[in-house]
Amino acid sequence: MNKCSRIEEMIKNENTEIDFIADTVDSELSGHLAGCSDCESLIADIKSVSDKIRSLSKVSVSADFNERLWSKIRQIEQVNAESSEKEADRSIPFFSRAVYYVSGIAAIVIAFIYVSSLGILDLNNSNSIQPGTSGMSVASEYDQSDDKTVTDSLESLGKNVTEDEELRLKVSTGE
Amino acid sequence: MENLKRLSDEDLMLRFQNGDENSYSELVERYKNKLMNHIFYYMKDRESAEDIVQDTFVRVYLNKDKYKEIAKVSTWIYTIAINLAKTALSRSGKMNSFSITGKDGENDYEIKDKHSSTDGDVMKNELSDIIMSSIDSLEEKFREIVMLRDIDEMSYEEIAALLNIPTGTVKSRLNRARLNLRDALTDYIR
Repeated sequence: MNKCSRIEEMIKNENTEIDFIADTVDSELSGHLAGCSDCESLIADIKSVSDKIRSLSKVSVSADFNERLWSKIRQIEQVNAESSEKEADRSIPFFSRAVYYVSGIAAIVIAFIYVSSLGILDLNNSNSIQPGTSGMSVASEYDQSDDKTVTDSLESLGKNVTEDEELRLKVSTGE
Repeated sequence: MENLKRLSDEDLMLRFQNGDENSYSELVERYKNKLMNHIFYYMKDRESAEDIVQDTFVRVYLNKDKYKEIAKVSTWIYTIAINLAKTALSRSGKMNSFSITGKDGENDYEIKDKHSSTDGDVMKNELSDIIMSSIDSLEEKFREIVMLRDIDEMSYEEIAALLNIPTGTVKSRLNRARLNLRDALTDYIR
């Protein structure tokens, strides 16, 4: 004897609803059930399975669940607050350091521009600052150089005067 | 003071987002045992399950601003819990191995009763083991729906939203799962 499989096919269909909790069964299905003992038996079995699953013992949380939960939350909040404070502390010195760096660089740039404007950094100038020479020695050399030029000029002038005097004597003596 | 129990989950969440911790506490009360019951059937271990439920509520607390009212609060909370449970299971390598016994080899599905067990209790525990074993043997997509519907008593619409599948698929999977369970439990259901 072949068992009816109509309900089995129907309940695999997406639109067939058998809700044992709300106790609602698809109308087409309930119409067939009235005249088919095979299918009625199958539905009874499925309902029994559903009932047994729902009768399984429920598992509950432990009595101190809430207390432990709040303790965990407060702990995390404290850690987060501390790390935020550290972050804030770290950001202030960094800002200060940045100000120092920028100020220092600006001072160097201004000094460079000022020194450049004096022309003493021109390497083609004989009076330019050479590596390893201090400001005082450069000034001293500059002065000595000037003195030497004046001396040379005076010597040259004296020599010319002497030559003119000798020429004048030669003319007067008729040589 | 307004009775928080009368408010919907979504109203409680909104109040919590505005700084009302009592509303958060009410949500915890509503869902802690439901979640515990559900996650326990994933983890098969009371301690691990409770850790997951705790972590779920911690995340709800810390990420309250990430909740948008487009989803139901229950869906959001269950999604967090199930994801945490799946991550924990995959880390421990137990994702596809469901056992019906606890760490000590004892039956870990039942809440241990301090009072002495009767023959009826023993038989009921054995039947529970067999039912859970049968549920465990289902494909995950069927097992999940049986748990959500018959154990957690969620509506078809809630399950559909949680699993991101059409309501019709929820119904057909549930019916197929029950057919499979009926075959596995034929000797015990009459």
